[in-house]
Amino acid sequence: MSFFKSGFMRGLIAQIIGTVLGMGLVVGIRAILGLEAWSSTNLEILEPIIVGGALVGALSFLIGVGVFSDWFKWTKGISTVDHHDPDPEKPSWWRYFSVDFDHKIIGIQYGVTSLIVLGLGGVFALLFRIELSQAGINFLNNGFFDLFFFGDTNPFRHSGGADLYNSFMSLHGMVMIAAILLGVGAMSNYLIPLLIGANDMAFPRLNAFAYWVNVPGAILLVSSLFLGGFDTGWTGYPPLSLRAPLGVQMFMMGVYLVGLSSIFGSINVIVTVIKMRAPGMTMFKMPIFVWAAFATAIIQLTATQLIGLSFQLVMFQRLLGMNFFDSVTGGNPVLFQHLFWFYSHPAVYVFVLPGFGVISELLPVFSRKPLFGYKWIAFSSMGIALVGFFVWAHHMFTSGMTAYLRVPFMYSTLLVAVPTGVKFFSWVGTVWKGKLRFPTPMLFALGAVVVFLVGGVTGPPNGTVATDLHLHDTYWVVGHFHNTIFGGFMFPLFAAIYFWFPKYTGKMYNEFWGKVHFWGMFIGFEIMSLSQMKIGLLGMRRRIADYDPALGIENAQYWITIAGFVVFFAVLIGAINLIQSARKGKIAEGNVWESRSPEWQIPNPAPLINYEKPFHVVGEPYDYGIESDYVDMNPAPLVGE
Amino acid sequence: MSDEIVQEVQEVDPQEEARVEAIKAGSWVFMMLAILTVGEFTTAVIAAPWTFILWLVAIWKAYYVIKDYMHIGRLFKDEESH
Amino acid sequence: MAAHEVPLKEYRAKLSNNRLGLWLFLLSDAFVFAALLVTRFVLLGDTRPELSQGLGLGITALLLVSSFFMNRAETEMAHGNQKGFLKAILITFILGLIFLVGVIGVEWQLAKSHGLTPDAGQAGAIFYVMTGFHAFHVITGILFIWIVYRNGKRGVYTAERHWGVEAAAVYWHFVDVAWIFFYPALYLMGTVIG
Repeated sequence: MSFFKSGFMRGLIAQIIGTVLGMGLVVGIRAILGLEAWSSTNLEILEPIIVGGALVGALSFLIGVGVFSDWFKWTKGISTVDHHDPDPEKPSWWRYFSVDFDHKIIGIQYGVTSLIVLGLGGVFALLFRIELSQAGINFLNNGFFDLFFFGDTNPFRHSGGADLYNSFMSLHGMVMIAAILLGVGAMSNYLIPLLIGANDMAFPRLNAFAYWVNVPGAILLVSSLFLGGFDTGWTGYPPLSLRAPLGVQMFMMGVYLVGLSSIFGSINVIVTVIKMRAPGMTMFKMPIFVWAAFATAIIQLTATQLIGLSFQLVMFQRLLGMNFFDSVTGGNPVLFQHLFWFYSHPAVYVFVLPGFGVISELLPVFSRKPLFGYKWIAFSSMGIALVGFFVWAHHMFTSGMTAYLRVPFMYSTLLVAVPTGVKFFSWVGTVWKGKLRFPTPMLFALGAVVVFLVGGVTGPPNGTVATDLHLHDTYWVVGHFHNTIFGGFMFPLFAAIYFWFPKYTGKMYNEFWGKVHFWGMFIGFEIMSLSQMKIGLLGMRRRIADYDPALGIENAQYWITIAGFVVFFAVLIGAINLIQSARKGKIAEGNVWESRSPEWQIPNPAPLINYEKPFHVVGEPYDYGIESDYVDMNPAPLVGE
Repeated sequence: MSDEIVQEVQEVDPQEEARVEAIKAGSWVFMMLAILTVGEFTTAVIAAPWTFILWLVAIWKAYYVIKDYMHIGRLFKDEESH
Repeated sequence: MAAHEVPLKEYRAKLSNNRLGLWLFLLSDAFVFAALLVTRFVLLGDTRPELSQGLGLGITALLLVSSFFMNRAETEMAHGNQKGFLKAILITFILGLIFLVGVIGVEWQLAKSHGLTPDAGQAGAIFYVMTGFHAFHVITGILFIWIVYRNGKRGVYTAERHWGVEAAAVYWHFVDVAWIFFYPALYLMGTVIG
């Protein structure tokens, strides 16, 4: 069976055809309306045509890949089965490249896509870091990049190669956010049903849709590079985004599609967690990761709509001249910032909460001790999610918003430190005097705690009005949030990837290269982010392509770039290790980590049907060191069953 | 057995009574919505656009629709139990 | 839909999942409508665009009546009255269609002829974005209703198993709720911009 017949390839071909058709559609509509239908140089005419093409193209991808097939049948009154058995005539990798409803397949699809997109975001970062490694160089403005992105002949470019730094910097931000959302999807889709004793998510088709919509989203995001890029940063503030090159439209549409994935994915998570737990598993007997994923889903479900709306309004303003945000003619740019940050601040809790869940999940296993303060951890996840809705304007202290809003938002922001502190307290309490073991996942979990601590203590100066007025938009902020994201997402993600590696491959990873991965990433990252904070305090601004050597930061800039490469190659080593181990690693049988969790009581890799017979919860999830069980895998039938 | 007898049996069917009751309930909600809409229109156009009152009326109307047309209560009812 | 193969117990467990899932989606969607209302009050404050009051009241009434028939359709189906169901849902569909024509075909053209175009300042932008977002939901809603009507004619639904009908009804009423807030915000609140 050839790769070119997989759902993925069919989707890609459909997207290309759909894009052309969509462009034709807009040209046709323009002709009917009596407007000038086509021009290859006038951007005002080209923009709606290309946006229409991108929209229809993305939709065509989804139709081509086949995520709508079952739903189309439903509209004709034909019912379909929830679970298709894998086709024995097709190779095993086939399922990963086509629409499949199994949550484990979808989880892996999310995970692999996440790592690929992560690598792409990393490459963008390295490219613009080279530009910054010395003052005064003009690395990105050379013939190679001009050739690749059509240089000055690209009709969408404002200023040839000079836009490239801004585009890479902006795309690094958004592509990484997409990668993180995909990683969150990977963890919650793969783990939740296994952890709560369900055989799949509540809505398998919706789950497949939520994954596949990311693919055209990512394609659109990256396509912005070829359509002039965008020089707005990942925030896309108007009025700058109203005047940015066409790439900004692709960026906003890409974000919208990735956002749809968040919304539909979170519906699945919430319903699965509420309705499909194993017998005896009350909310407070769920594995702690499930709490974290549940809290995450609440944010994703509701807040995501606002970034979608804010970007749509910018698109409408660009396409139809509807004036929302241009203050020259009465619009209100600060309104955009409110709508945008209402999602984009809680979004950082979307990034870190699942990671916190993974840390809380792993520490007891490798300390052989109960998780300290289970209920407090569960409440703190919900607390962070809830308080997270009331802090957004701390990104806007310098925006010129109504001044009396500053202090309330400062206090609500500082309040977030309380539930986060609860988590740290619990983690320290859990490892305290434990029988610690240090395989790679544990190293990543502990590394996450350390890195997030740095990110955490550098946060309050940004949340406090008086200091933020000075720190706003400096590299200090860059250092701060890279610490929170690495500590809250990157390190826990790799902890999860290594920890559950035997569960999804049936093999054991190579411990030596795992540790090389960890130490390279940890040391490289800390050099990078601490230097970032330092140069920020010395006056380095965010988002600029060059700086005055008189600031005395050239040396530190140089080391940030070197450390960035160290992190990149450490992750590359990790990825190669994972691929090699999956192919040739030692067979890993049984309960590799002596975990109490139900997913380790079934064979490796997890079978097609997770639990042939539902287990019963008979104890506490984290009572390590106490003679008791969490789950009874072979329960006597309950009365009335 | 003629069809008329079956018909007659159905007419005193409690199921049929429940159907008529349910439709009556729906009509009553519609009446309330209509009265409130006319009320808000008259208030705003003839008297003055008192924003606060208009919000209250909108919430009141939404309450009826959510409770009686969308049956939000069904969410919290355990389907297994009957 | 038409899941006659699965036992009733399993169907009901699924039904309970489906209900929660749909309501969560509506909650999510409600955030868009709420954000549009916020946008309207931030940009226009205590003013509103000049719109035809009669038309506004008329389409509002249309939507309310359609909600009534949608409720009736669902009630008929829940009690196994196939014919009553088909009649009521067809009326709902037609009323929804008229509403759509009323907004896009009449209201928008009327506004345009008074100079209220999408690029006519904040009032135009707000008017078209609010009615446009709502109209998009109406379009999806009447598509949904049309599908349910056709499946109903095929006899897909029964008194016990009619999740499709219920979902269409709940979604349609949600579109109605959104309009319940949009109508006063667009037509009644504030003073007309001169």
